[in-house]
Amino acid sequence: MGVGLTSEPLAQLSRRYTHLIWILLLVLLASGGLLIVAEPGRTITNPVFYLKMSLLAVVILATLWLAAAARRYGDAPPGLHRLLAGVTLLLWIGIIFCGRFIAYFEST
Amino acid sequence: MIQSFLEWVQATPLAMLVGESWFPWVESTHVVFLAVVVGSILMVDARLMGFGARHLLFTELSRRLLPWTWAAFAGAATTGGLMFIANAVTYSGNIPFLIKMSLLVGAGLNMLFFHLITYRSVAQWNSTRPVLAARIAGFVSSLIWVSVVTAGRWIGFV
Repeated sequence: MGVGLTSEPLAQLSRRYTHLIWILLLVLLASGGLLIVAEPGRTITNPVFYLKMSLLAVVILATLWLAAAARRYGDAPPGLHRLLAGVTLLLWIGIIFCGRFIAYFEST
Repeated sequence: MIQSFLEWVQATPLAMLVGESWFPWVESTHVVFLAVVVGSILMVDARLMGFGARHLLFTELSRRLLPWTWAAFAGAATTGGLMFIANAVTYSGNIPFLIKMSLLVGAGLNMLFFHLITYRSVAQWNSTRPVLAARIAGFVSSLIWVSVVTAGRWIGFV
């Protein structure tokens, strides 16, 4: 998006952090899976849970796309990618918010 | 006296409003803010310990990231305060809550010590692996912040 650690080439920044995203995402999926198995009634009928998982699916695709693109360009990402980066940021905020909100939403 | 103050706080219209209807929204927003706080702090801590971002000057990394940390901390403290006043009496006797608050003070002291003493030699390690005192500061900080999150989550379980 052009904010943050702009003094460093994006390819280098991406190389440092991208693999961390996938490793930690696996840890989250495993621990989240345990929570579902332990108390399935809490999540499998809860619409907020499905909203969270849908947002997650979109963000994974967008991140795969951006990570592949980040390896190629130097300093200035194209406008489309900057926009997509903003969208993924909003998606992550939504995912975190939904994750906490699951506990408060009455499942039917 | 503290007890009656907490009871008064809890009875204010704002506290009632949070307790009766805002709580899920406030708490979920709190989690978003804390993710930014802890995420950005761990990035700086990793650099202090000599892991990530080694080719970035430490001063550059902290100058770029810490304003986000503080902005998000203000948000987390505000939403946290709103949640506290909704159940002030209960929280003031909740062990994980008290542990969390103590850990936050510990994080502040660690930061203060680092800033006033260790940071003075930053020129020597700005572009390389930091000195031992700085690595320890990064390690202590990441340990404390992970514990803050754990204790915070635990507040709701007791």
